[in-house]
Amino acid sequence: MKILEINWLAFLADVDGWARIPAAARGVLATSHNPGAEQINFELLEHHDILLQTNILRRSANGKRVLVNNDVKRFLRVIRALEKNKELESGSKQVFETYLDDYFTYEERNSLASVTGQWYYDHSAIFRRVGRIQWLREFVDAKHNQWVKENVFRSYRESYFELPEVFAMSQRLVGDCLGNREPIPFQELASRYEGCDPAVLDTALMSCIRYLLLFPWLDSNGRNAVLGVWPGILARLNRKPPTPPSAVEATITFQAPLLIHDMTTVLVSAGAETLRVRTGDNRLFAKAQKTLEDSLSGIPAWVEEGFQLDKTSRVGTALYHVQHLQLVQQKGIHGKDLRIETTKKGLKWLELRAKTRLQRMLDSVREATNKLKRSSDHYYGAPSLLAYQISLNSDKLFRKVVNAAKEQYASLPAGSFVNFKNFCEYHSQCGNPLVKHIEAGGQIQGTLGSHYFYESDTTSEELEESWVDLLTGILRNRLLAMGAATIGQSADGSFCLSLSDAGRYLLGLADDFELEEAAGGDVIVQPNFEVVFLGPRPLAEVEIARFSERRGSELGLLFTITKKSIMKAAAAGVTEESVFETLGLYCAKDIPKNVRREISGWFGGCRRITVRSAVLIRCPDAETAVRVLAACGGRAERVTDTILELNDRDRRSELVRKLKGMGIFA
Amino acid sequence: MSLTNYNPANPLVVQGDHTILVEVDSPSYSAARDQLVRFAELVKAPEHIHTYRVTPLSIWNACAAGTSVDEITEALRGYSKYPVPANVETEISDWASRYGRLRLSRNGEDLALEADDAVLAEQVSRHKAVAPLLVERLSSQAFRVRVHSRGEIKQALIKVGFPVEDLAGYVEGERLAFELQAALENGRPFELRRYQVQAADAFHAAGGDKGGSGVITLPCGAGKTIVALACMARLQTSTLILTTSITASRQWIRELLEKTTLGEDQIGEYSGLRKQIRPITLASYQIMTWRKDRQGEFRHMELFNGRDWGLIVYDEVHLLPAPIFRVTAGLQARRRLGLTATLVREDGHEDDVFALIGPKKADVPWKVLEDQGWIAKATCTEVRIPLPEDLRMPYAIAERRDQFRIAAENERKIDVVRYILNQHRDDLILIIGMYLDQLKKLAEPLGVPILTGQTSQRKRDEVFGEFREGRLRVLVVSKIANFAVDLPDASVAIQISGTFGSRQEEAQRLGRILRPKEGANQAHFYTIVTRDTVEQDFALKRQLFLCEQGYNYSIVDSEELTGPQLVR
Repeated sequence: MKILEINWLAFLADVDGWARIPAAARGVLATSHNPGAEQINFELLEHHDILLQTNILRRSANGKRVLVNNDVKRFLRVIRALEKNKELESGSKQVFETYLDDYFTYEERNSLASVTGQWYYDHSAIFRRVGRIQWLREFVDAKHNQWVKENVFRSYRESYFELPEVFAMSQRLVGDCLGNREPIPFQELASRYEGCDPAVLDTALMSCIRYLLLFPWLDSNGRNAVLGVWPGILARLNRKPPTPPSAVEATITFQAPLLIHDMTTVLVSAGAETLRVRTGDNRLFAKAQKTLEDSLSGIPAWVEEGFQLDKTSRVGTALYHVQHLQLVQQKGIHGKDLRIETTKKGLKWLELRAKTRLQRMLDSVREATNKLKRSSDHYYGAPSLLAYQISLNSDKLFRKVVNAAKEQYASLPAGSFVNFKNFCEYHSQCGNPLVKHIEAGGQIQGTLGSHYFYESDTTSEELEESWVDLLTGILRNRLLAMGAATIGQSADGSFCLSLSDAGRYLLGLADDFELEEAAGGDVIVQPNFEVVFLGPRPLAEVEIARFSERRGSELGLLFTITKKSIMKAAAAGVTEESVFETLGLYCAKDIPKNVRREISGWFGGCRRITVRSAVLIRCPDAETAVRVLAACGGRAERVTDTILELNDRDRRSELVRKLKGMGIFA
Repeated sequence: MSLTNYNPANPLVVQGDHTILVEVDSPSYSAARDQLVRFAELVKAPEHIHTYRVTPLSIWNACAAGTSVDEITEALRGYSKYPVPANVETEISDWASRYGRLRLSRNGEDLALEADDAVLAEQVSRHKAVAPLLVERLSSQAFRVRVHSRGEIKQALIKVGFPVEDLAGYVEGERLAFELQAALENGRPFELRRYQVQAADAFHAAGGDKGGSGVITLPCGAGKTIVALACMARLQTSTLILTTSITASRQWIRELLEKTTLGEDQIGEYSGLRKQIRPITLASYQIMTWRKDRQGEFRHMELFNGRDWGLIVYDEVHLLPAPIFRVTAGLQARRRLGLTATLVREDGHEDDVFALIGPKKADVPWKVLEDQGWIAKATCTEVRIPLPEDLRMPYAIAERRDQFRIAAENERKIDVVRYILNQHRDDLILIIGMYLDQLKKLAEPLGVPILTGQTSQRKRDEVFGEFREGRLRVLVVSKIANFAVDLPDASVAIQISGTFGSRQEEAQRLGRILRPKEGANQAHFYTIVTRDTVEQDFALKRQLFLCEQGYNYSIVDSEELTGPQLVR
């Protein structure tokens, strides 16, 4: 049933009985019972006395059976609709969007958006408007004509709010719901507004729901039908002041410069294989994408799921960075042979030690962060700490945003974990430069990720939410990706974090850093060329992945060194010395002699050649070849006695003419 | 990632795919390994980390040996570095719960298949492979089964995942009184080693129904034949011994004559040459499975009924051919002993070995035996030689198969062979190759005899005899020496060509020199390959295999080994 089609007067008449039946029976009727059916669910039998008393059930004509009262069916349909709305209790934007889609037509949504200043249907804009307290307070304090003039949706043809008494009743309803700080049970409405014209109350209810001032739902605890302002607003009204983040214990932790690992994997693959690119959208072909995804190191499922670090997005991020740093370049012709290849710079980058590679990335982020002015472009600009698309109308405010984000992460206590949600809540409310800016009478215009701010339409709710998003983005895309933070999970499953050595360096708290490796077991190269990890060693994993074939992830038999993998590594610029250095660095035992010997042998067999197009001149005999060579005047080389190669292609026509004069015809 | 419950001192890493990595250098390695061999199969054993695998069969083998699921999970938890994956524990307990829930026992003239509960009885009785073998329902939990279906029903039940415990007992067979000798002909005392006694005891099970059929797994050179002799001596019954070749049969005969009080008139050879059926009879798988044409009958299978055998011994049971399996299904009332170095069959029929021969009764890791000096320590060396200049172009343009032959027959190998022979002047040396021309070219200038498939059996026996007695120091052999040729004093093998990358061949060839030696107890296995050719690629596969078996493997260039003067 559509929420806008409900006859609230009829509903109010029946809701008292609903409130009197046991919660268990309410639960069954709201969830298991088909509202249109006469037959009752057997679970209702134990409540049949009270259900009969409240007229929800009736006896059949012969008195032997109990059936659902026909008059109640419509009421139960409303209950079913309100049951669906219980999701609203989360107060999330996603639930709000579903609510809009379910109950409002396209035109209605367009109208709602138009009031926000958007001339097209935009859920975010609507949510921004109705999800803030200010919107309700303005309504409660508004003068009738003025409000209707500014807010009544132009494409609505109904006469909601046209009557002053309906508008006043609506203001009263909204004011009471706001003041109550809890949703009001429907059965209380009759007594609360005793003496009011029921028709006015009905129209006011309908109008408030229509204009997203109030929302009806069944509460999840007792399945009571309630009416309230947007639950997100209630949560905000009732929330306690945030406490500074304190130390928590992590039961499981993860720390690895994932991005550097992934970039390395992409570079090795691009150096050894053809990573073909689609002409249409410049994205990798599925085969190339899969090759890269299969080569990535594994990460624990709780990290992958908790931070949306699936392999597809990791490949995308790594590709963005290697392209931005010009470690790879796109080659070939559009529509024919478009591909990604590792550049000389990329090959050199691969030769660097892991720490140097990470340090260069951290340095570039530090530099980009310091240079930021007014905007930070996540997609096209140099990767800065913000990892977010931000554009603000004021340099000063922008700098405050950058510094606050940096300082908040820098304030993490060394060596201990803090709850990430607690960290975000505290800083979004107490250290949010955007909120402070508004409170000081300033105005904000610009974008912060998916949040758009307009001078006349910026709410503290959204500013807080945007700050949480900003901090989350920094953690996911920078600190976690670069091994600058160790993330963990507490016993209750919540995420926590602590700053790593690399993180302190990134935030300017230290001049240098040690590349940390989470405590793990040994790495062992076996005489049968298998590389076994007796404990998780993410750094070693990615370094060894450069020249070996992956067999598993995280633990146990992870790699096998094969002739093919060494050839692939050599093609990508990995040297024999670097292979032995890496193995020497991470392996607990000596590299078996046979393995060392074979690796050297495989590298020894590698050669790099140049393939190029050339203009060859074939002569019928050696004497002619000598004559042609003389005619070329040093611009040709002898390949064999009778074949010459012309070095300067542009002179081809000129040479042909010259030879013609000498009686040699091409 | 870090885990709070990480015990780095423990040696095991149990993985979700049922493999178990064992850190050899851990102080508790030996203790953990001793636990593991009870319920897991060794997959590979390179120097530092060994890999075991838990399978339904390995768990059933463990259950058959009396190991409980609690002992298995305790062992895994107790020695594991990380928490044992939940799926592994669940599956082990599921597999273990299936063993022994069905029992086969005597029921008058027939057998009774009894289930732990009526539901299980109903479940198996409805299986289409099992149903035809159940003659009558004796109760809600029991069925009558005909005696001749004993093997078939065991096979069928293992395929549906419910291995049956066979408690139906055995026929005693024709009595044969004999003893193991106390001393050998040369006067040296002869006694069983401790692990051999334990293996024989486990098989015999004091003559009870729990024993009498099963497989003994011992590495090459560890004396599987001796264990079989001990089992035979405990049972005192007529025995049919099936081997892989006539040469192997004759070796068995020698062992029987030398190490038991049996006389020649009590031991028969059933082969193409002789058809002797005596209280102890030896026959090869080839003769047993011989038939005139593809539709013909296996005439020699009659041998199984030739006497009232009390024991049938299956040598190299991992090579047991399918027709023998089929006959064995009908021989379940006779005691059966399988001997092998590995339970892994190339055809994947390990479950048939379990069902028809019996569960594993003993398994001693080769490393233990090597450490105790019961098998020789082996050093494997790959010697790489260059391809002569004049062969480089023919090699470059040849097909891959021909390339292999060109590389394998590289004449420069002779120089290296000579050098090695010179280095091992006091050792008995086998030179093994695949190509007859190459072997002849090598044998002639060295003046040593050559044995190939074309050599008569008489000549073979004669030459092997001379080699065993030390009158011949060097012997050139073709593939005929790959299997079951017992040359106890050979301590050096030089492989000049092989069957591409065959791992089994590599193992068999190495097995020829693993018998314990006096003194340093050291064996040397050389492989000569042509550098930068396909032969080297194939040699890599063999190298991997030997490394996975745990042997030291080194690679040298011929120049390093012989010095530059020998390299032409």
